[in-house]
Amino acid sequence: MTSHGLTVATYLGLTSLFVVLELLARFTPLGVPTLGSVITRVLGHRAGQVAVLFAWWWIGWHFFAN
Amino acid sequence: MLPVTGRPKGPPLLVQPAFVIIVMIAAVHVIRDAPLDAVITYAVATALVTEHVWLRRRVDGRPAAGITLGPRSPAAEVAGVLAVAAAFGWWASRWHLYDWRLKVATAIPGVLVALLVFTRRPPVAGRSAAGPAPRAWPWAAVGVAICLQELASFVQQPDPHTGIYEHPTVSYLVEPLLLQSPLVRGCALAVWLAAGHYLLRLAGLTGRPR
Repeated sequence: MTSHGLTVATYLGLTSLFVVLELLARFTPLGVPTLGSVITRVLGHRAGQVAVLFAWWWIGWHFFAN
Repeated sequence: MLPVTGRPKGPPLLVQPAFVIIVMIAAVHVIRDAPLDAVITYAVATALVTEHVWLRRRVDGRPAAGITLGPRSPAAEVAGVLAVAAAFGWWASRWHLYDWRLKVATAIPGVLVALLVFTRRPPVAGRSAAGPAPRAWPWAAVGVAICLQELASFVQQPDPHTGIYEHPTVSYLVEPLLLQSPLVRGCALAVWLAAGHYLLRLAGLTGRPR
């Protein structure tokens, strides 16, 4: 596999882990929290609110505008 | 009933992980030679510190005032958001990537969200317990792994602005899709805007101030 292919596969693999974690959280008794509950927890503090919402905005700014 | 807004609680702001991460990201923007991004990120950190200091000095215990956003019915709100996001995606997809009008179109939601956040008093401990969620470390581990992969690709670029095929960053992979297809661009913009509203809902920042 080329370096390009390996890098893309790594991104895809890591991203798919998010899906796996969400499925584990929803359909198994392992105690893994859902992504929504983790984000809600982070949003429970001002610094977390600002960090998460700024990250969201910056993604749009970076990919579409800058 | 526990108060949901008011004086900030928990550890000092300067040692809170989220604040430290914001400052680190600002430094990363300096390293990647993105001065505007660095200035904006440092401005966000400064706004956080300013608000924190201001709230430490002035606490009156009144319910939070602030900007209102959207109707209170969840179904109507979701339908409204989807309609607005779709319209926004269609409207903004007519412009080329990095066009100044697209800069304005993406800056406006950021300004509105900043106004929405900083006109509300911050949440206090009680609405959400301090510290990370139990067993949240797998999520953090995957997030950090993605960041490290991105960093590994970035440091192998010949310069901060030139991506390479052998070690692509996420931007390098996504940019062609957004450049070539207005449909993809419009859908991505709509999803981005709807995701922002979803985060505002999770933060309790939609509807009337509590």
